[in-house]
Amino acid sequence: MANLSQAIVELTQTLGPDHVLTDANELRVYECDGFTIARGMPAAAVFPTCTEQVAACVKILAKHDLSIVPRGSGTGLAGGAVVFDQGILISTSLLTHIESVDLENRVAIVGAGCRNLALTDAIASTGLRFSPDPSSQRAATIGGNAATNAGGINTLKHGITTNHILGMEMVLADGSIVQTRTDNCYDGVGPDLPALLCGSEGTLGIITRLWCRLVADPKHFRTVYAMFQSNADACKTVADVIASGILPTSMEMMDGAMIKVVESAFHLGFDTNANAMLLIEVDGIDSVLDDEVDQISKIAKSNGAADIQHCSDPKERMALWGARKKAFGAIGRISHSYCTQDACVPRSMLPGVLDEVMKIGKKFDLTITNVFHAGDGNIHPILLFDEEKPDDVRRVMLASEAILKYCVSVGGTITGEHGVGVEKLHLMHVMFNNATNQTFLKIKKSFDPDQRLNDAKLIPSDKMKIQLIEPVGANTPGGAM
Amino acid sequence: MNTTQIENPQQLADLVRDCRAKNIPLVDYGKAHGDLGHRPPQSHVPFELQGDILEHYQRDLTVRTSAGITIGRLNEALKPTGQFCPINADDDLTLGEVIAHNIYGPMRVRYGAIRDLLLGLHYIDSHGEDIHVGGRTVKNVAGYDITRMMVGSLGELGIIYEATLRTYAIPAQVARVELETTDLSTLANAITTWMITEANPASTHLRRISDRWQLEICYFGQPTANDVQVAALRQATTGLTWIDEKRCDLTEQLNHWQQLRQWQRTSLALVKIITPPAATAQICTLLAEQGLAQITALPSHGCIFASMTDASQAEQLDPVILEQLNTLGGVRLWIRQPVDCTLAPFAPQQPDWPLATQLKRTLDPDNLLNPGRFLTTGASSS
Repeated sequence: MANLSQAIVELTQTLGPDHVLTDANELRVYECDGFTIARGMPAAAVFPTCTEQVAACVKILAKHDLSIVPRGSGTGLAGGAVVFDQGILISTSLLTHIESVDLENRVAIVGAGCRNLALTDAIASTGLRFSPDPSSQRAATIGGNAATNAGGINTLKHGITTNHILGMEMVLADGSIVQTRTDNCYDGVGPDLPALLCGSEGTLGIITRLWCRLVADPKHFRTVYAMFQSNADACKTVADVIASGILPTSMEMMDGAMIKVVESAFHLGFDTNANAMLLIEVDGIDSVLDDEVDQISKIAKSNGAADIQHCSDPKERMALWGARKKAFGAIGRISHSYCTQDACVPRSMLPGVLDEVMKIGKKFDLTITNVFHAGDGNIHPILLFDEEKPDDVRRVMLASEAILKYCVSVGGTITGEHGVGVEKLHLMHVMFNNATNQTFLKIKKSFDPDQRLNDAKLIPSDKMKIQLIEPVGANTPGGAM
Repeated sequence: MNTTQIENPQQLADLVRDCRAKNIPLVDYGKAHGDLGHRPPQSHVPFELQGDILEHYQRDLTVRTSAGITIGRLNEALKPTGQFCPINADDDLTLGEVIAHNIYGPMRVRYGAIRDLLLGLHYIDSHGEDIHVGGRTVKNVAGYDITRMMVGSLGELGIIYEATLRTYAIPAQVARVELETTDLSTLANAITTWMITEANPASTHLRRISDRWQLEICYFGQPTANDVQVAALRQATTGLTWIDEKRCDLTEQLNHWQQLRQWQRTSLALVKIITPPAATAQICTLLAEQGLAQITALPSHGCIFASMTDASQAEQLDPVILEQLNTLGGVRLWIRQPVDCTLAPFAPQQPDWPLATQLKRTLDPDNLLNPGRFLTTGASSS
């Protein structure tokens, strides 16, 4: 039987009053993550400072039969950190320590609350880096990166979070502390549990500590941008570059609407009459990068690129990438609210997929613009709307569903890097057959038999139902509005 | 006992259901790993997967293939397209064996291990159900990452039928440098130093030759890039003797590595040690001091193979290795134990093995798939 008030007393005794929030005004910050359509107020939020405190909190909440939602910095984009059903939020944001940096093994051990960029900054002088670089890396925690298996801009060449996490420590639903893999080993024996836990969105345990693989920080770059008259030409360029054997660090694409938004915000001299732009970067051996740039330029030209520029100047490069990373923020100039979708398709399917996205936008009377990781086939249609208008929200959700279903139909997936969260729960049956969904549920129950940890996220729950499209009703503990 | 040849997923699903109904375990230990772990129960159904490439998405640099394909066949089929799948495994091993045993080699430095190449899996679970996870996209975070979880699962959680993998363009040239030393104490530091310069290797491979250590470094790329990297390496190899330098194509290099591995297939007693990379030198030195002649390592990833001659040598050395691992961290596994030797197949106990056992109980509750090979669940099979 849930006993919230007694649980809060015990949590306060364990963590101290400064580490337990119960005031509704203060809790408002934790009502949603980056997917603002899903909202839910936690009954309390707690801020442990070490693994043992996380474990103690979980034991208290298990004893009082309360549900738990883990949260890093709350930069997720699928509602994975939203608390429904009067649950308790456990924030790992104070586990910020960098425990060790071992250069010979090329491993850093960090607390789950260590920010991605904090680790990068701390090891900048070593010539090594932690490679995953989601756009939110300034705020996002590495624990959150691992829980969502975050991607980013340079994943095309250097991989996603799971490729860079060697092991982790986590607190299970019963409060026990476990470690996957050992010390600074790059492997173990048996099933790859770090891989299973990466991207498990806090549903199997609360990650508290991570062993991060460090890789060489590239020193030499060339950045190319090319303007096109059509999305199709830009997409063909992406496929042609990949097929040529060149592996850029990143290949980012913006459509015409997004070029205008970015140019009006950052004044980089982009041709605002263009309908598509590719921003491509290569890294590696300095003396061969110019050859690669030449090859890329030739491919872009053969696909009709009108204006092709490249740079190796660090300041110019930073300005270009800064604009790319802040592109989402610049959308505020043209819309009250926006919903960033996230799907991934085989790269060769991109032209058809973008056409279909625009058709779906027209069908649902929505403006959709695009800025995305074209080299990965990872699209991010941005649906513009006003979240104060319920009909806008409904059309956004329906259009999103149509886009994602189309992507699945051409061999793609419902999420490339943001995760399922609550946003895409209803599409798991589109993506996976029943036996596969049942296998996910079996794994969930094996780790968390009472379905206490971030229930009804990532996989549909048989305990809690969340409905985002329909208005909130008596039987829906959460809802869109 | 006749080995059942499996040619399609339906046949495999039917076989699993049939074996489940009769409570007879299914066993596929693979070609090179037949002696790894606990022995199968006397009564069991052995099987082997057959297969080939199903679809090559050439412009996407991905390939969907049956898990029964051999690595030799896979790369032979990809070669005319200018692509390859960077798996360092013997040509006669199947892809399924490579995934189930997490096999990798020197190329892991540049291309990653099999977990980094895998995009999707189709497997048959212990109830005979079709499970499809991952897909053909290079990024995919829908659902739990069972695709990668199955890597290293030793065939105990499901029978992999089909896989989708990344492919890469065949490099224009391989530049191979052989270095020599008698002292490995600076090796770990040297590898990190090379990594952060233009000498950054694409592969590293260490082997014992007489009383010396030979370190092979390779670069994969355009000849001009390789020239720059080899020159950078030459400037950064203090304490190591430059023995040889060679340019070749990828096929020749893959064959070279396969030849270097031959002793592992014929060794009567083969141990694999996984340890933090920086501990590679200490453990290799220890093994050499104990008189072992055949030692090879992937120093960038802390993976060591060593051959022993007989049961008495194995029994004498095993406690010494385990004592080192207790200090340095890591695990050792007998790929092949000497006859009459009864050492624990896997040791020391690792912190995540209870979780792995829990998964086995969840996904194969009746202990039907390669029972007890690694994970002992307590459930019985006839």
